[in-house]
Amino acid sequence: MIKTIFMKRTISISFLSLLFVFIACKKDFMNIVPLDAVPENSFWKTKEDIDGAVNGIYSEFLSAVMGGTASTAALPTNDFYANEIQDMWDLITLKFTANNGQIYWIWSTCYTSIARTNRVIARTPKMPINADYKAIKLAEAKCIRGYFYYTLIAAYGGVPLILDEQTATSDPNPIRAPIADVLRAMIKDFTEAAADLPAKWDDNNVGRVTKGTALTLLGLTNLYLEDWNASIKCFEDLEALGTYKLLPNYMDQFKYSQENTQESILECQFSDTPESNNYWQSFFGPRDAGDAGATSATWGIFFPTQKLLKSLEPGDDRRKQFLTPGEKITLPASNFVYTMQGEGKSAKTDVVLTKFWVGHPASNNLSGQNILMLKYSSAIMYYAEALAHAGRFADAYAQINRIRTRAKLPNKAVVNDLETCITDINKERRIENCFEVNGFWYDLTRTKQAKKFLKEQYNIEMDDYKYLFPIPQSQLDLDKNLEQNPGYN
Amino acid sequence: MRIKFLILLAGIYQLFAIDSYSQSNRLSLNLKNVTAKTVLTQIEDKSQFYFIYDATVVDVEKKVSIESDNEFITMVLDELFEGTNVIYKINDRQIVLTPKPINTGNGQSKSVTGQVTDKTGNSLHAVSVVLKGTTIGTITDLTGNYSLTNLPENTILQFSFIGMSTQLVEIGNKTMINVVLLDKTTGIDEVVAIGYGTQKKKELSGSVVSVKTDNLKNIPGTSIDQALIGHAAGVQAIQDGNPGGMATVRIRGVSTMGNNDPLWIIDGIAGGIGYLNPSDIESMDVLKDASATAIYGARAANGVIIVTTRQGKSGKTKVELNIYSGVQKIWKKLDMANATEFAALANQASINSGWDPNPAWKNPESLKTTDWQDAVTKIGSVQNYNLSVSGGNEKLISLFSLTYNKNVGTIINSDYERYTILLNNEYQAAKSLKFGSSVTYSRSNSESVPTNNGTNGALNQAVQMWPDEPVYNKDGTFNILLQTADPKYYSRISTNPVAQLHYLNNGVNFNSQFQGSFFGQLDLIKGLKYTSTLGVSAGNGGNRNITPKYVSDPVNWLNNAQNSLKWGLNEGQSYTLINTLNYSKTVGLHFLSILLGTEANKSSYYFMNTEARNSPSNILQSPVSALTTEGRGNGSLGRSLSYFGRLNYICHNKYILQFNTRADASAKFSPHNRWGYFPSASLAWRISKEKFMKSVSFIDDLKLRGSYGLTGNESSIGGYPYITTFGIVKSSVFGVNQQGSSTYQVKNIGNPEVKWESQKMTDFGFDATLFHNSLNVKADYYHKITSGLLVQVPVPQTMGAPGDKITKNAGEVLNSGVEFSTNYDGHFRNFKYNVDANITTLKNKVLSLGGDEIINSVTLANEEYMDVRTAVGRSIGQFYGYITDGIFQNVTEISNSPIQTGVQPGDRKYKDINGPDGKPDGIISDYDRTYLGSPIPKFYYGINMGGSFKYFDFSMSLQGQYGNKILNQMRAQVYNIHSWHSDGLSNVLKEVKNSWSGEGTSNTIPRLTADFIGNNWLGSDFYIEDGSFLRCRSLQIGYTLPKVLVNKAGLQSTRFYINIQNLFTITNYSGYDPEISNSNPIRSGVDWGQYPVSRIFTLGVNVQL
Repeated sequence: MIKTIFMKRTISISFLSLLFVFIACKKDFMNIVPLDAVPENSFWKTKEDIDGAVNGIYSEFLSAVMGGTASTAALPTNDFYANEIQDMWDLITLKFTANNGQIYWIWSTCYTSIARTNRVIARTPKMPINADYKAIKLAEAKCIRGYFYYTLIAAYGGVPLILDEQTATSDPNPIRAPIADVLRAMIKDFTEAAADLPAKWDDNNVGRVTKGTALTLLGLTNLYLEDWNASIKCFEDLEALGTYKLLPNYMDQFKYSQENTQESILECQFSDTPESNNYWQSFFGPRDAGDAGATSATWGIFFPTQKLLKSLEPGDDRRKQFLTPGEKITLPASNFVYTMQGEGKSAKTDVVLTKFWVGHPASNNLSGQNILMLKYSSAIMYYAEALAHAGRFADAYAQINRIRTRAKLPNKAVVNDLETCITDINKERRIENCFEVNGFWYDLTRTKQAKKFLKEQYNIEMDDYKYLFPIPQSQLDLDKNLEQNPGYN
Repeated sequence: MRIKFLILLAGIYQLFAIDSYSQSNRLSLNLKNVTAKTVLTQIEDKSQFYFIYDATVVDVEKKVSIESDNEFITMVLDELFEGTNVIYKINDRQIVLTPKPINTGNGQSKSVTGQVTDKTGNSLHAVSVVLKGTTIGTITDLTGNYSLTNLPENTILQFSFIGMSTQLVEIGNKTMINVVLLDKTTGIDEVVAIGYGTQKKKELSGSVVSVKTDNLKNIPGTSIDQALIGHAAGVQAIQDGNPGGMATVRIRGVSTMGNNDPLWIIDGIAGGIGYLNPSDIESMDVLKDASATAIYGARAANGVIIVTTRQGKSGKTKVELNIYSGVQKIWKKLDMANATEFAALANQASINSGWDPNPAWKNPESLKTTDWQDAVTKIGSVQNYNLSVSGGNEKLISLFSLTYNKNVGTIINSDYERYTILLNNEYQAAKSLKFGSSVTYSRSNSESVPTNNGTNGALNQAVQMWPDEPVYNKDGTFNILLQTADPKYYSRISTNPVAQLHYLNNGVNFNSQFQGSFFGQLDLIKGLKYTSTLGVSAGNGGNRNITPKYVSDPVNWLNNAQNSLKWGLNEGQSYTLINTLNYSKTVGLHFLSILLGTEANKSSYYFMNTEARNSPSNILQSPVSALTTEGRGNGSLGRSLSYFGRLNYICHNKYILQFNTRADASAKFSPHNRWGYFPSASLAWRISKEKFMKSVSFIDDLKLRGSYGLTGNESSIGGYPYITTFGIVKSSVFGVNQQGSSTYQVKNIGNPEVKWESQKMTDFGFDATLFHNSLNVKADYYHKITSGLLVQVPVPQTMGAPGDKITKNAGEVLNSGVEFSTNYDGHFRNFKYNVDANITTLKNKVLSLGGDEIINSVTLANEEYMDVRTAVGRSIGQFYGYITDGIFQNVTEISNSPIQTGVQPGDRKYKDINGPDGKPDGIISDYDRTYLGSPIPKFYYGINMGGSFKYFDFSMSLQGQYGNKILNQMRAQVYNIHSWHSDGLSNVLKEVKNSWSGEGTSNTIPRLTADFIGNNWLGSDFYIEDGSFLRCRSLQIGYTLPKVLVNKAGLQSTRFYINIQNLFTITNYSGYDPEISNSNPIRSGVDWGQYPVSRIFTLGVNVQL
């Protein structure tokens, strides 16, 4: 009997102790972390962390380029026809609505990227790694932050100026800063970036922002600030780097086999892997290419207008970027020879822009072709713009004529008139920057030529308020302190 | 059931008893002027004896005084019942009290013998058999037999047994009376499962409803939630038509924007129910108020459903075979135009839009019609085979069940099959030590098709198709319309849905699940029980999706120039360890029970997908490494830790008090917000036990209840929302070689303040049993406020949050309503019947959305025309759009109406209800959009009836809901000849021929156009329909073969039945089916061609060997 009781007790005690076993191991037990991500408290420690975080900033270039920064820069000029996509058509017809997806895309990609740069800029200084390395990485982040603020002010004017790391407790209702404040912040970013960025990267790092990128953007920012001399200084510094030159032929910039050329100041890096593809080849390739036997089907979304084609001076070498009925093209990625058909069969306008159409046979019509975001020829024209404003017309025309010479066109005579000079610069830009990122429309709006251009070229009346795009409605809904641009209410 | 089972067990146990307990134990008692019942309870407390008696024939309320000092039980009982007519019979620890059989001795006496069995033919031991109105009688012996002698003529025998309905039989001139007693399933003595234990229904102070599961094995269905449909007040279950689809289950409304699914507890362990086979379920108990659920703390806010699987029963081996098989088909088709009608309408529309009519439709009469609805649907089938073997002895009881279930869906290429094995054991290792296990393994294979989807839903595509186009070309290949039709008329988005289902659904999904619950139970000291339960859940599943190389429709991106071979595998594990200590003690008229426990859970889930494209072979099945393969994987981990306790106090059998509390920690939350505390309290008063109620004879039992408590919910959100994390994305390219570089990007912006959603619930109710246990009534009022909803709040993009969302606790939702249920058992001569009915009202209101954050607008994916909004002061997920005001009949009407730009006669007119200044401004604009109704019903109900007459039985279940609205998105297609998704034309309802075609022709359907007239198809009340319905969910007629006959064949019983599911549906809803199953509360009630519920005819047989 006693034995039974004893045994019972033993069993009871052992069971009871089991009951509390996991209380003892509580601390470890609850400590789990996600499998697919690195928690913040384990991050910002090593060189790899900072590399990864800075590389992450670059990846937003892909979305920016594929999204709004090229289409909004091209379509409002009316130099293009857009097939079937309503948001695109609305840009052409100047129906800039707060719900336009392309306009929204600019806001979205810019702030996504700015938040990433802010994190790097906030965290890097405290990291226990080599100071010189940190300085370069910080400079990259600052240069890119400035670039995205440039895109924002070009599109919307003054925007919320977010320079701190954002957390769950940050102010969810920031106000729009005056454009001058944003420009000043950009000047600071670009100046600091230019100081620390290398003029050239090694072969493994080509494609990152450089001193030249920062200087060009600094010069551009000074154009917005109308500080012409400061701008001129930037472009003089850029020239002094000696890194950049115009390629002999305009079309060399878009060669499929040749990327990050000497003309490239900032280039969005695409590759043949599915995550970093570009799909422009199918946007610009004509619809009948697939039927004609091209290995990749094309959707035929954007076509230049006849008007744009006709604006070319005779002998302009840049005519090569266009294809018209009867003309042939050998697609560089597939060696497919395509002959364009007329009467709207290939393209509604009977003009095809070929520089982005490489005929890469990857699935879903994607290609790894890089897309230029900032190029030396643009820098030259910004330089010319600054010189013209500073009254140095001869110097300005000298710069314009560098572009014309490359296009195999005769030099333009110097005209000592600001309006004429700016018009002449924009005339080159129209062809030179055809459907490029942060392209012609932003040049027209910055130089206040958009209204005149649309009237003269397309007989379209443009309201003054359309120099800026509307703030996306979704953001107005979320941020009660955000104000819409005038004219859009 | 449980009690009866215990008695059976005890009865058999006694057969094997070696030593007699009564001869080895002595008792000491000293009680003065107490009821005999108190004495019996004291004896039960002080010894292992327990008493079985029928209080209606044994007087236990008699006051007695007793004094015994270390005496044998027989001496105590002799003293206790001295001078009464009570006799006792000791069977080891069981003591049966009955009235003395008396000898009337008047010469007119007669004898009666017989046997008492339950409905399955098992003999019942210890049934009290008495002359009605007297205390004269006996009890049945171990084989269920009884015999009574010297009975007067023309009297009535009353057979009663705990847990069973009492039966009265007139003796007449019979000498042998065999009786089958039926379970009194609604009786107050029934035991129900509550968290970590059971409780007598009569002693419940919380709101718990038990769901009848008897019929589950006979109703075609693959998931156990079917049993909830229309069967329990407070529980709404919406059928899903997909083969193997699970119902959407909501207990007392919708309380969060996130996960509203109840917590399922299967044999003590929380988990999913998809693997369970309906016929393996013994009982389902739904815990609804906070008093009942708070013991499950942080997981309980959506209600708890406790599922107990079938257990073996001690006794003879029982073999049961249940088989049913049948056919199913969709019960409704939309009345689409045939080829002739469509062509005529299309021609008219073309003319109206200034197009040239399609030459192919020049002679509408000559066109042959394809019924595309028929083409994508078929007569499906259901099959179910279940074999179970059970039995046991006093040491071990066991049940084994094997099931195969197959459902071939009504939409082509969709099916589901599942094998289930269940093995349940309980082993009494020693007098005070018991072990048990409940183990299930199941395997399912399924093929699913896209439905409820505007762009590639099977039915959706089918109704759009041109009826003059055949499914197949003459050469047997699929007719790809784009290749033949004139693109001007052809809608570029629609594609041959038969081809699509054929090409896109060559995949199978499969899932294997092992689920085990293992427990040990030790009686430490008298009244103190220690139980340890280990739950193990291990599942793996995956899919194989082989899409061949084909070209169906190159423009729609439905072409597959490269074939693809996708394989995915996933693996999940969950371990739960529960330890509880349970102590109960009765002191005089005070009963106290205490439960203390801990629970810990550890879970993991991993998956891996791999894909290869461009295989040279369309026959090769696996993504072999020689092909370019891509693979990826991910997973998640979970941890939780809990402490809980319950105190239950019953005083004088009248006042019931219960406290529950639980502390829960979840690894989802930051350490300082990790613990949540969830207390509750309830009070019940069995008013019928009061003296002043004694005179109210029709009331058997009446109990008033009230409870208040706190529960939580964490399941609305996944991951670890409190930590900021960085994920790796390979997407930046650098260098002359264009190498991809890994990049880190913020994956989540952590919010350390995130914690549990918390819910406060108040409940008042009563339970009544009336008219000799024939009528039960139960009513509840509930009021619950869920606050701190876990939501992903959209934040401005300036924050740079991934997906532009941050997890926060924001908002507050109120749900309140009344539940009422009743059931009645009755009989009319041989016709026995029962009716039960329940109704639940629902009021759902968003009280707050957490400050200024906007989480009140959800635009339907792909759809800018109609919003579903959640806004303060309204119920969750209301539809939002314009109000139509007929059709403009003429130019004058247009000029006299609020401005709608660009309209002409025949276009839709909308109401001007508001403007920028808060009043109508004469312009139809965004300001004129308003709330158009809620997908949440005002009330829902169920009516279930059953009956039996001789060998026949029947049952019928009706379910319904009232007052909810459905957003019928398909109206955008079936009323609009302009293709909804693209240019071109698509088929419409026959009814569209009544479109407006001149003044006075129509005030509902706008003019026919081949162009898209945006104005006519704005999101408006045109798409909103009443979703009320009444549905005959199940109708069953059964025939049980006479026992004599089946016994000859060596069988115990055989029953054949036919069952019709969804026989009829009364509804005004014009779509396929008013039951819209969608687990997302902010998108519920949106019908975009969902998989319709089918009508199923089955024939079945239940055989017992």
